[in-house]
Amino acid sequence: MRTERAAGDLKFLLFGDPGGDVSGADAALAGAALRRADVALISGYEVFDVATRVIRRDPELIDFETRFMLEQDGYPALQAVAPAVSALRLERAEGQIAAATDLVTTGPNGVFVAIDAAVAYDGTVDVGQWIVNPFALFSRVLARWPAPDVTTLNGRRIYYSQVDGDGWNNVCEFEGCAASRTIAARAMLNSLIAPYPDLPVSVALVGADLEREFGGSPASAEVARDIFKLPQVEIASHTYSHPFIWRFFEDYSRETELNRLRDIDDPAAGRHRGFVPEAVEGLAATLSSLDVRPGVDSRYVASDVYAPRAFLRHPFDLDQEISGSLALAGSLGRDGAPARLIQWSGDAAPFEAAVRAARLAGAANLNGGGARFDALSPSMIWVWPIGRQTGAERQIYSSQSNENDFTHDWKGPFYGFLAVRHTVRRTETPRRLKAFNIYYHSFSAQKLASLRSVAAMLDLAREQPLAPVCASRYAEIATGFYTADLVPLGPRRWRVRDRGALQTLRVDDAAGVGVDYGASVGVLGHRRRPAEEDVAEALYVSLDPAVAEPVLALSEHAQPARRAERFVLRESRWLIEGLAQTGCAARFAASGYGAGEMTWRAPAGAASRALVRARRGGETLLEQTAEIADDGALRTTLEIDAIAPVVVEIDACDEAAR
Amino acid sequence: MNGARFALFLVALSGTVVAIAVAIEPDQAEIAAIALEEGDEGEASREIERFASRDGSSKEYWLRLADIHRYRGDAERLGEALTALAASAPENVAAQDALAEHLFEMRRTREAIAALERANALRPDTRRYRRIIGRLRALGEWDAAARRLEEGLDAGVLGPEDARRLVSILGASGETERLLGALRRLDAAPDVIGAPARIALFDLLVAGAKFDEAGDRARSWLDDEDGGALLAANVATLLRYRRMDEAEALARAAVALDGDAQRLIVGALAEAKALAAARRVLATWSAARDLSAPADQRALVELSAVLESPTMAWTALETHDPAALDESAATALAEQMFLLHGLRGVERLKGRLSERALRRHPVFGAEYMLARRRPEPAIEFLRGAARPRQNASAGWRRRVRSSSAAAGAGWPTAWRAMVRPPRRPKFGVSCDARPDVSADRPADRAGRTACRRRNTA
Repeated sequence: MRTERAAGDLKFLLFGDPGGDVSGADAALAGAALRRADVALISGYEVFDVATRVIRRDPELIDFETRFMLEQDGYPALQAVAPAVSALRLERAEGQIAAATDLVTTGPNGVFVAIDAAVAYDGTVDVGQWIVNPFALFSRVLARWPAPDVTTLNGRRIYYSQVDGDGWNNVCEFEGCAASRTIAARAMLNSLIAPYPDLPVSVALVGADLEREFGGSPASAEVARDIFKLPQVEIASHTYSHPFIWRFFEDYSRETELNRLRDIDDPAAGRHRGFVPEAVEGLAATLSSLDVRPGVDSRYVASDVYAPRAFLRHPFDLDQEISGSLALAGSLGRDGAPARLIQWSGDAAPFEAAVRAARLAGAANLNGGGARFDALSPSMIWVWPIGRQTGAERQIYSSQSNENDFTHDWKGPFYGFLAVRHTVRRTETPRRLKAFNIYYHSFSAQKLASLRSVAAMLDLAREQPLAPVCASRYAEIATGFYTADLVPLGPRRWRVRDRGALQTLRVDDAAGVGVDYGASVGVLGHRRRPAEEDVAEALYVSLDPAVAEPVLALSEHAQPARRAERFVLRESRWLIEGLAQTGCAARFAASGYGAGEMTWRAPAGAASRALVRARRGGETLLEQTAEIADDGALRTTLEIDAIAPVVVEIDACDEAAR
Repeated sequence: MNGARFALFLVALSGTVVAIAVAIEPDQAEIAAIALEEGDEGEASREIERFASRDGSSKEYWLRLADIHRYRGDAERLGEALTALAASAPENVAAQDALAEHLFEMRRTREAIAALERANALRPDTRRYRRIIGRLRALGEWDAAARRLEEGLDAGVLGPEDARRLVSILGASGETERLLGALRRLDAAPDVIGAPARIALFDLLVAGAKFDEAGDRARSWLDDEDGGALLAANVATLLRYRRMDEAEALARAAVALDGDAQRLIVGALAEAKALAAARRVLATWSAARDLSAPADQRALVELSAVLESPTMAWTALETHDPAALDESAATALAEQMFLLHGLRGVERLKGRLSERALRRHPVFGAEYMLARRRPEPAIEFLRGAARPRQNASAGWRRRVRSSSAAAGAGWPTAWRAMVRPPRRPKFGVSCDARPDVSADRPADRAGRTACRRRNTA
């Protein structure tokens, strides 16, 4: 999010080392950096052992996921300087080795958190956990403005699903599939995509998987066409040759690549077999069963994930990887238009030129990051940020981790993806941290265990009140987070600029705060998320996508005694836009996946029953009535297909409807 | 496929090493295995059910059923089968381990820990203990983690690194007696304990009035690489508790340590204003050492200055062959004598070590000659200065003048004005000086220690 601030209003949040060696040559510079956060560098490192005592520990900030434990170690000797205060202070007994230090400080100008007080890591079980509460820490320093939110749309948690096309041609192994030599992509279509028309999914092809020279067959493309035919499917690209190590290609040399390939092929160097060889073996089986001319030069199909990319026969070509693969995937689609989403492959760490190429090709980008937050990874440190800056470009991260993370890099157990449900739950409560994302690969359909676990997660998604969108829309929403600009217009009033596809603003700690609809522009409605555990109430405000620069005004009183003089959206599965209303009638465009569940708050003076109509073009698709409760709640479900937008009219004035 | 191959296949399929001896007959189970290999899991399942009808309560049955469910991706029934397997073979460690693995994968952490505990009760194992302890810590169950650590250490399956973890947990809990026990245990592992923990152990012993044990342990640490620093810190601890006699006695025990160690030990006494004790300790040490090492000579000279007793150094060194004296020690001694006794002091050196010292220190030589109204030799002294630094006469002259002036006000002022006190590697002040407590740390906190942090980005 961009904000306009005077230089003097900048806050300094220092985590870890202050940018240099505090006991050596950098002491002066490090001290200067620390002073910006009102922390004085007293001396270099001091040893604090078990005889040291913690003499100050702010319970709101410290011991968040795990407790601070003094280790026998060196800490820089620092001291909070007024107006900053210490939140964690150690003191060694007086005498020969008396020493003290503030490991966490907070103040109006910033915060400092020593690395030892930020996160604790236990190598025996590979568990890291936050010591300091980052939410409380940031809220103490930063002004409470509405925050652009990428987890929520129209009051509901965003849902999206993405498939990376790895293992497209693998022969699946289970009953009813292995015997017919069905490839994984077909099994995926049959079991994970077609049965879920209400859940959008973005399927990203690896272009080379379709090529005969890499073992592709007419069957490979045929499955792709069948998948892309489905309306809930978004066509995407998972690149052409599937780079594993993106930085290798930033300054590409074919000679180096071939040398590396030779090194890997050297038996003396050993092999690290992962899912790629499995795919190749499956491919060979497919070819033999389909009687396709093999023609696969195995020297150019990576048998090792340490190769720079999966398909190496031709020199790397960035145009082919990005715009070429987008066009190739799109050519198999309904209208032949290039795909609009690229899902990064391999280490998912693309260099700036690659991200730029995707943007210039008109595609959103996604992958990398992820989230794991469960009993084995019991910390938010594995919940990755929204995206990553690479040069002048922005890479958007996936919201959840894929099955590789849950199956020990596809070594099993193959039902491991079931554990995603814990992360899905823990990134929703007590605070919503991430969208609900089901992210898997085609090879998940190769084994019954993995296929069932993905299906179980899809079933879980069906049970929840979500706002499903395709993955490219999520990526656009996330991009909007970085471009959005909140311009203050007065006390508790902001104009929102350059938000792109982002449609939700979140107000934390929102008890006693409401939306002033009279002073707001382009606000569809709001939904309150009650306080839970130690997390305060939050307010999710839905903006109208049809309004370029909406204005949000907050009121001091959360629950006005009387209903607003307008329709207020509480939540909706479909995307709502272009809300127009007169008195007790409203009209808007809507689109989405599955049945159109939505809840509005009707204006004061509305009838006890409303007439709800949905049209597309001149055709009325549905007409039904909906009850309006005493508190104005109007709940309705539109059982029609709205992947293509429909126009919905709500008439709460109609005598006939009453 | 024979029975042995089938067993191997199941193990490979499950990804878990289940070392249950399975006596396999060429029966439905084998047919099931073939069906599994061919991708016909339905047939495999049917054969397993037939197998079960023969002996549905045996561990072999549950093991095979578990593998079928694992293969089929039925995690719930897999859990049931593994639970039944563990129940049917309660004495079998591998069965408990297999159940634990599954429960971990299902994120049923507490149940998984319980299974590991059962396995540990049967056969204590280092990795299993560490896993339990790590998970308990992640769950915030610190006391339980500490108990398991103590248990594992008692059983001999956990090592010094684990003892260090125990110290960390108990240090935070404030349970002094348990902490003391953990530190004692850790002290038995000299490669791991590190100086700070030993200082803490000593501190706790002194605080608990266990002076004899504290002294014994401190003396046993003298041979360590950090023996001098440790002893100095321990002496400081005793002084902090006003145990002057014990502090001096402990300091006297360091006669075998070199001059650098003496700097720390005597420095600790001096810092606590126990000057008399410091002098006695220094005298004891200098009498016991042959002082042939230049470092010892320098230490003696510097400490004698700090203790306002330069004659102590002189007395100790005057019997030495002047040629064997360290140059900087001799020069420093000459400076001290000059500052304390003026030219009389320097004259006292003449004929023995002064000749050499004076020749190497043109300022003193010049002053000496000028005092005798012999300017020519004085000029010769200055001209003959061998090294540029010593020839920086203006600086030296200023220092000598200021020092001389200060001498009238008492030697400490002059000393401080003229000679910067030696950089005493005070314990805990700098990363370089302190014992590297990070050197033998496990990689579990990579980059967080002071010394290591400087070497990493």
